[in-house]
Amino acid sequence: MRTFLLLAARSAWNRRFVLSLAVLSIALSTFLLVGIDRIRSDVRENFAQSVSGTDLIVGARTGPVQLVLYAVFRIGAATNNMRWTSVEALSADPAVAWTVPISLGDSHHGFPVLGTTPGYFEHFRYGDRQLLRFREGKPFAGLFDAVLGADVADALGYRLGDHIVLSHGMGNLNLPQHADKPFVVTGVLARTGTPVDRTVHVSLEAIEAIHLDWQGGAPIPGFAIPAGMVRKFDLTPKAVTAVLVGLKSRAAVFVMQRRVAAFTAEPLMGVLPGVALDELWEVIGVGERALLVISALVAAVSLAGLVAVVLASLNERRRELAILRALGAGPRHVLLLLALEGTLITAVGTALGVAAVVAAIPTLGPLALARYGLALSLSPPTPTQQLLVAAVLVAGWAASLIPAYRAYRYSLIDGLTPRV
Amino acid sequence: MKRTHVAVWLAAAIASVAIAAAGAAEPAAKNGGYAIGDRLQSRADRTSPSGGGAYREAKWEDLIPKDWDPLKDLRKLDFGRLDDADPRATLALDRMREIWDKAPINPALDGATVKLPGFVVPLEQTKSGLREFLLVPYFGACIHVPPPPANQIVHVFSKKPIRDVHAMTAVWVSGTLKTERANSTMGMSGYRMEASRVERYEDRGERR
Amino acid sequence: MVTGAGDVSSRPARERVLTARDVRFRWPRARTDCIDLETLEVGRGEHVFIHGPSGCGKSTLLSLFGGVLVPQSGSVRLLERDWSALSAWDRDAYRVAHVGFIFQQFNLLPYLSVVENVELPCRLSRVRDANARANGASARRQAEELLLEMQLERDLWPRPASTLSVGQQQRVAAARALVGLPELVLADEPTSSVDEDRRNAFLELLLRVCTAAHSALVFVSHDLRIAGRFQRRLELPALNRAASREGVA
Repeated sequence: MRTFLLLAARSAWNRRFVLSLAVLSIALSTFLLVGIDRIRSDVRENFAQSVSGTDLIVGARTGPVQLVLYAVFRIGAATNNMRWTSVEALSADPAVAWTVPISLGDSHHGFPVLGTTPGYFEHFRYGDRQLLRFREGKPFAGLFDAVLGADVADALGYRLGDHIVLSHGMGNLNLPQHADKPFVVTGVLARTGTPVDRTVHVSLEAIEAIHLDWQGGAPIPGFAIPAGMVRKFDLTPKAVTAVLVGLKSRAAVFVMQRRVAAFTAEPLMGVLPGVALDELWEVIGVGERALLVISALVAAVSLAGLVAVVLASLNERRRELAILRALGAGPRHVLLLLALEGTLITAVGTALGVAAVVAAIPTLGPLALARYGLALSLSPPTPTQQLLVAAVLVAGWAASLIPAYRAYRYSLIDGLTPRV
Repeated sequence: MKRTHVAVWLAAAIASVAIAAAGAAEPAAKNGGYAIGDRLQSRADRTSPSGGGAYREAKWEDLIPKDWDPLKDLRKLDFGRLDDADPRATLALDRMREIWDKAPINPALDGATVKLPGFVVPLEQTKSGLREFLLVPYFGACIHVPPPPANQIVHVFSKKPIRDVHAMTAVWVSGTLKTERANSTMGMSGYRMEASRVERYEDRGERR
Repeated sequence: MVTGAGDVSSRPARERVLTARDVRFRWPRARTDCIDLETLEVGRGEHVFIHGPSGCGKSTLLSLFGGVLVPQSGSVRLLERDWSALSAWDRDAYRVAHVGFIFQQFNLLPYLSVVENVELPCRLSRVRDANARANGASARRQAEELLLEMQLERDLWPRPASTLSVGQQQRVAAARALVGLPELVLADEPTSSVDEDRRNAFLELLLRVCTAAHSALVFVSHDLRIAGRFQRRLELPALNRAASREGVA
């Protein structure tokens, strides 16, 4: 058996220039299959652990997935806000244990700014019911205090005591700045692996304060309220983006959901984060399956290429097969030899593809994290990924049987003297 | 190169193709083939009881105390004679919901080790799997239909995270039931369960 | 043309390497026999030259001797085992254990080195490997000795077989045919693609090595000039009753 492996390997190596293209295309298809699955599983992991311990997310009546995506992941935009009076009514409900209102809309060098209450640091959990921890500093106490997520501080090199200026709106274009009201960094959070790391946290009153002299997204010309004067105004927020709600009894979530939906003062909805995310996965699942099918087709095409290359070279190899017959190899051994060759080539291709995925993650990982907040991990392959690689190998073996069978027929017919 | 080597090689390859094909064929039905309002049939309903081990297979009806009659106050109203838009119908519905919210628990079930089929409403998803969820008796209980009364929801905790279980997945949950009495301000009592085992509900043909 | 078909039982059994009796063979879709041989016997260590022009069935005959083809009737026995009695699997194993082949050209696997080509039969047959080890520490050692005897220098050994000249390749083929000391060597026109001056040198070496290994050699060729070096010379068209029947030369 070892001899045949050696023969197969040497024979393939001998024709490596011709075969290299087949190897590369198999590597590419493996890279696609495994890479897509890794992104898929990493995205789900990321999302699953971004919110914990929150029973309901309440906001204006938009779509559940949209609300969760915006409130938890800062993806997308809010179409409407909810009034502060509704927040107060919600907090007063006997079934509610705690509420944390949040307000989004501003940004700082591309990082979203979250306005919230100090309760955020007490109640917000992620992962497996973990609370937020401070790497340095503490929550906001003064009006213009800011608490940074770990990635913000690391990417922009901020330390405690630094001053930062917020921009109005999200996005990378030239945004108007709230330059007259700078914030001071009073705390930096420890890394969580969630969108919290990319967020700048300030108080709700501060958000109100910086927009006092703004109207419709721009400062009112000729009317500026300096930072020192803002405290003279009532800084209670008028509207917030959403409210995170924790209940005294989690089983009461349906009751609460119904009460929110029946709220007469304004149209609201309450969303169970877990259910909304599962809904999101179902929608995305269609796209994922399509991607998987396409990758499988790419794999099929590359294997077809391999078969074509080996078949094309078979005619020249009839002499070689006759030599093997003389040396005691029967037609069955010839079949095995060719099948082994094809499998070896497929194995090399899949190994290259997996290696490419492993190499791409540390290389492209930081980019994915910065641009999309997606943390790609170098964890061992999941059962699905192992199955995908095995499937490509098996398909390669099966495909190699075609030229192998051809060679089998040749060696039967040719005997020792092929008619070349 | 022995005959046996080639035979083993061929057999292994054919076996691996078969396994790969089987693994790749996932159930294609959306929602597992359930429609809104479908309930799962507990095996306690069927005539031939199958071994449930240490766990008694329970029915959702068991969770309702026998003396609870939610329609007691409303029997006076003849719903057949009310218009849909009649404010009395809306009030009656609201009243109905209040009664459901305050639905009492069956104290006899405190500490009972049972096995219950139902649908999952996920609460705590972690990297390793689902840890906490609500179990409800019928499909779609959090989407378009009115939610179940308080004594038809079980708050389940699983020490071992469960994989591949999502919203509205049909499962069997085995564990110890605990009842929680309401405090008067909150007005809600309910069932908790420490699940020792959560497995997918397999037979699809049983539906009511 | 001197003939000498050999007596039917002129030798004791253990001295007989190859025995062919009433062998009739035709190709699958042919209407007449290609080979019809009454009797042929080759003894241990004998060197037999079979002459015949192209197309008269020389290669077919060698295939029958080597158990690659099986006659429709009659028997071909190698070392007293009838090829027809063995299954296809067993024939392949028996062939590599006891027979060495030299073809006219393209004898070697281009992707193996010279010495790897020579030791290949020993890697594919335990019998031959055992023989080689009995006569020298390992198959590789014997391969190297044979290469030296065929006058192929050491620095050629690790080179890929395809980088050698035709003459060198033929000599490597001869070394491979003899590694593990098979009882029978079948050579199908091995000198036909070698140029004239090397032809005699090659033949010298081949015969010398066969004698040293005490292997029987059956050498077919259309070139009568080399016939003189052989003890026994046969005419295939004369032996082959099918040829005379058809009037095909």
